Amino acid sequence: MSTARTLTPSDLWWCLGAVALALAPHAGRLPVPLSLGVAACVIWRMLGALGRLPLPERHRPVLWWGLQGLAVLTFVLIYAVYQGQLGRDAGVAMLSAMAGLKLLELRNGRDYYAVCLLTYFLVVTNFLFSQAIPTALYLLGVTMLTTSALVRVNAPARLPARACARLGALMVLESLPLMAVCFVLFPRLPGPLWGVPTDSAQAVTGLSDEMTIGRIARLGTSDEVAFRVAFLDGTPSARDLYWRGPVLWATDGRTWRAGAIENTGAPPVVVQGRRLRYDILLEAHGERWLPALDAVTYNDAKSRAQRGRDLVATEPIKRQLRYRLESALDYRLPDLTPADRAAALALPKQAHPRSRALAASWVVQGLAPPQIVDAALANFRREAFGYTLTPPVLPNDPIDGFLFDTRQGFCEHFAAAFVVLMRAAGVPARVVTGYQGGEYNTMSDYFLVRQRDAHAWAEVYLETRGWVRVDPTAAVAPERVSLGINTYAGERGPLRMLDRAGFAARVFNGARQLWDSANYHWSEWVLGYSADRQRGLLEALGMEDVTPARLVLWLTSVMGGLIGLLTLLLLRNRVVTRLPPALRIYRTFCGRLARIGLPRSPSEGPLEYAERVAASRADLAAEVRAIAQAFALLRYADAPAGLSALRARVNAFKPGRPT
Amino acid sequence: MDILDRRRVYIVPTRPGFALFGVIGLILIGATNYDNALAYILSFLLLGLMFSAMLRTWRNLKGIALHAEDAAPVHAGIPARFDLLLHDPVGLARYAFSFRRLLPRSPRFWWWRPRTEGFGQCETLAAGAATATLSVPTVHRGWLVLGRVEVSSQFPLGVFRTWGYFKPSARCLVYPVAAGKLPLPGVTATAVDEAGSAGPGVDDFAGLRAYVAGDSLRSVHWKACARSDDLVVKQLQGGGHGDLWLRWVDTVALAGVEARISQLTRWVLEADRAGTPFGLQLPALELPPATGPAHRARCLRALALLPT
Repeated sequence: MSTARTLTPSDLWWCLGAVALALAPHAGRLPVPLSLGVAACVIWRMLGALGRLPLPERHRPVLWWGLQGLAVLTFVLIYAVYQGQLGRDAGVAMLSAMAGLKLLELRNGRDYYAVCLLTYFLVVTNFLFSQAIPTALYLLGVTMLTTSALVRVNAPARLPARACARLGALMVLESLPLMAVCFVLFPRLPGPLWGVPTDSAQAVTGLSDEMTIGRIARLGTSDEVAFRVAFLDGTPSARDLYWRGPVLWATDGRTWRAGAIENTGAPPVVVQGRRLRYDILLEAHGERWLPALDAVTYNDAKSRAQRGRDLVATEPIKRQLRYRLESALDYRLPDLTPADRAAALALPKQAHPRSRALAASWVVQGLAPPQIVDAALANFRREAFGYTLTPPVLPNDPIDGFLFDTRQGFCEHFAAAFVVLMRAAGVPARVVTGYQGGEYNTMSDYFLVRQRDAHAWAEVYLETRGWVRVDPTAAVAPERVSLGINTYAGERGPLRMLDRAGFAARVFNGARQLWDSANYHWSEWVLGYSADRQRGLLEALGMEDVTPARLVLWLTSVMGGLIGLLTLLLLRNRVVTRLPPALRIYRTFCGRLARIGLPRSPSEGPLEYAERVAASRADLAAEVRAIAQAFALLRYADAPAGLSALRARVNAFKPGRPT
Repeated sequence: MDILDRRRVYIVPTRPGFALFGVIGLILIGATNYDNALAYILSFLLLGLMFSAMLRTWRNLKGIALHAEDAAPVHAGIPARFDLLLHDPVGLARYAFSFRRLLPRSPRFWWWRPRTEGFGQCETLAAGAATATLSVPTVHRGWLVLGRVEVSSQFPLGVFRTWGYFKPSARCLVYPVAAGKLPLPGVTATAVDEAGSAGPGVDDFAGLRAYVAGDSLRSVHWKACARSDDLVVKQLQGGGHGDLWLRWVDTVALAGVEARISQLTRWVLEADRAGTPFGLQLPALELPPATGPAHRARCLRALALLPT
C-alpha cells in the first residue's frame, strides 16, 4: 500500500535525476573505479527503463547473481580501501555504492521511496565536504527535485511534469519559515557525540608553525581566504595591521621553529594606549596558532598565549573558528628573562661566518642596538637587494648566500637574515610569521586577509622600548607593506591596473566585494551559528538565561504559532471565482433550508428542489416556490430586474424547524 | 450528500513517512556530531516539508462530499460496481483518492483497524466534481448494502495518509450464482391448462403488434420493421404445447436451499437466452410466464430475495 500505482518510466526519470545530481559532487571525491561504477549503474537503470538493456531481475539468474556478487565485492573493497575506518570518506563511498546498486533493483513504490529518502541523505553527505553558498543552493535544488519526484509518484500520471516540479519546489519553499525558526531556536549540544573521524578535516593551506626559506613564497600567489576580521570599535591604521602568527625563536641555520624552550606563558603587559576589540573568523589551516594583533589583553578562544605573545589553540584548527580578541597596540613589557634573552641570541655554531663578520664590524664601530638596527636596514637599502616571489635556490648557507651573493629574496629571506645579523651583533631578536594588511570590504565593514598576505618580519628587543617590530622587507619593497594602506584608503585597490579601466573595473571590484561580503555573512551567521552565537543572539533579542530547556519552550511556542499561521494560510477555503449575486443569494437560501434538515443535493435544480421542500413542509411551500421561481427567472431568463426583490425575500425567509 | 468536515478527517504518517522521520533524526544526529550548520538546516527543512505534506494531504480530503448511486445488480462472485459522485464545494484541485468499503469490525478486535474490501480510485477532482467507481466483491445473494466507505489519500508526498468515512445509502442487489446440472424442464401439460390458451406463446405466429418496453429482441419482426418506421414484434400463439414453468418442486433432487436457488437461477438464464416465455414458481410466489429483460430481472430478484 506504499503507492497506489505502478512505476512508469516517467516516474523513474525524476528519481534517477535526483540521485544522479545528489551524487555528482562526490564524483571527484570517490575512488575513480567507484565513481565510474555508480555512474554505470545510473546509466544502466536509465537504459533499462527505456527497455534497451535487461535489468538484473530474478528471472535472469546470471545477471541477478552477478549483481549480488558485485554488491558484496564492492563493500569488501570499500572496507579494504579505507582500512576498515568508517569515517566520512568510507561512509560516503558506502552510501554512493548503495544508491547505485539500489537503483538497479528499483521496481515498486517501496523501492522508490527508499531511493528518494537515500537521496535526501546523500544531500547531507555533500555538506561534510563543502558548505559554500553555491553548494548550498545546488543542493537546495536537488532537495526540491527529490521532493518533486515524490510528488510525481503520488500524483496521477496525467498530472503534467511542470505541475509536479512546481508543487515540489513550492513545498520546499513553504518549509523555509519553519526551518528558520528551528535553526535559530533548536538547542545546540556542545561537542561531538562521538569522535569526529580525522578525515573530515578539509585539505588546508596556510602558514605552518615553522619557516623554511621558500615556504611563504608558495602562499604568495594563493587567493584563498586566510581569515576575516571585523573591528568593533574603530579600525587601526593600516601600518598596525601586522597579524602575528607563530613566533620563531630557534634556528638550525635554514629552518626556523618556535623552539623547544620551556613555556612560561605570555609576560604581563602594561597597556598604555587604547584597546581594540575585534572578531576574527579564521578558516581551517590545520595548525594550532591563531592570528592576533600585537599584545592580546582579552581572548575568548580556547587558546593561550606563548612566550612570544603568540596565541596557540589547544586543538589544531580543522574547521572554521570564530573568536573575539582585544589587543593593545601601545604597551610596555617587563624586562627580558635570562632564558628568553639566551633564546633570542642563539645561533647555530659555525654557521653564517660572513654575516657574523658584518655584524661584528658594527659592534666594533661601537654602535648601540638601535643604531645596529638602522645599520642593518641601511645595508639592505644600500646594496642591490631585490624583492621577488621566485628567489634563486640557496643550497649552502642560505643566510650568507642571500646577504652576500644572490640578494634576491622574499620576506622570509629578509626577516631571517635580519634576525641573524641582530643576534650576531648581540641584539636579542626573533622572527615573527603571520599576515600583513588585508583588503577592506566597504560593504560589510571588515578586513579580508588572504593567504597571499602571508608575511614574515622581525622583532628586536631594545632595552628602552622592549620588543620592537622591524619589517626589513619594507626597507627594500615598501609597496609590499603599503599595499594594505591603499586598500584601506579605498582609493587604489590591489587591482591598480584595472582601476585605469574605470567603470568596468569598479563594477568588477564591487561585485567581488559583494560576493566576499555574502560569504562572510554566510560564515558568520549560518555556518558559524554555534551555541555561543545562539546565546548572544537570543540575549540581544531580550531572552534571559538561555538554557536548553528554555530554548525548547521557546521553540515549541514559536513553532506552534507558525504552524497555526501556516495552517490558516493553507487551509483557508479559497473561493476561486466570485459568484454572481443571484447565485450567492440563492446559496444563502439553500443554506437556511439545509440548517433545518432539507439540504439541496448538487444534482437538483431550483424548481425541483423547491417541490421537494414543499412536499415535506407544506407551511413553507408557497414562499419556497416563489423564491425558486424568482431565482430561476433571474438566472436563466436573464431578467436582472428581480434581484433586489429576491434578496428581500430571501432575507425575510427564516424557516423554523418542524414542530 | 455527506460532507467531510475537519473533525472527521483523520491523518497518520505512512511507513515511508516514519522512515523520513528516521532520516531526519539521523541527519540531526550527524549535524550535532559534525557541528555542521547545513546538515542542521536540511534536517529542519525536511521537518518543515513533512509538516507541509501533512497539511496538504489533509487539505486534499477535507471538505469533499460523496454520493453513491445504487449499483446495477450482479450475480454473486462478480464485483458490484458502485458509481461514486465526488463533489467539492470549494473548488480546489485535489488528486489521487482511493476508496474502500469497510467491513463490520470483529467484536474481539474492535480496537484494531477495520477490515476493508473493494477498491476504487479517483485521480483528479478538479472544478468541483468527479466520478469514481468502487468495485466491491460479492459472495452472498440478497441486498449488499454499501455501508461505510473509507476515502483516503496520500497526495502529495506519500508520507502521510489521510482518510475519512462516508455512509452513503447505496446498495446492490446480488443475484444468486447460476449453477446446477439439472436439465431445463420440458413444457408440461399442466402448465398449458393453468396458463390457458389465451396467453402469448412461442410457437405459432398469430400476428404483429407494436413493440413495448420489455419485449425480447428476439421476438422483433425485423423484416416488418424495415418496411415501417416502428418496431413491431411477432405475436405467437402457445397453442397446445403450453409454457415453460421453472418450479421450486422440480429441484427437489438437490440438497440444500442454496443449491436449488442456484439451479433455478441457471434455468432462468437459460430460458431467457432461448427466448422461451417462462414462468417461475417459488414457495410463496409465482411469476406468470413472459419474456424479456424486465421479466428476467423480476425472476432473478425474486430468487435473490428468497428467504433461506
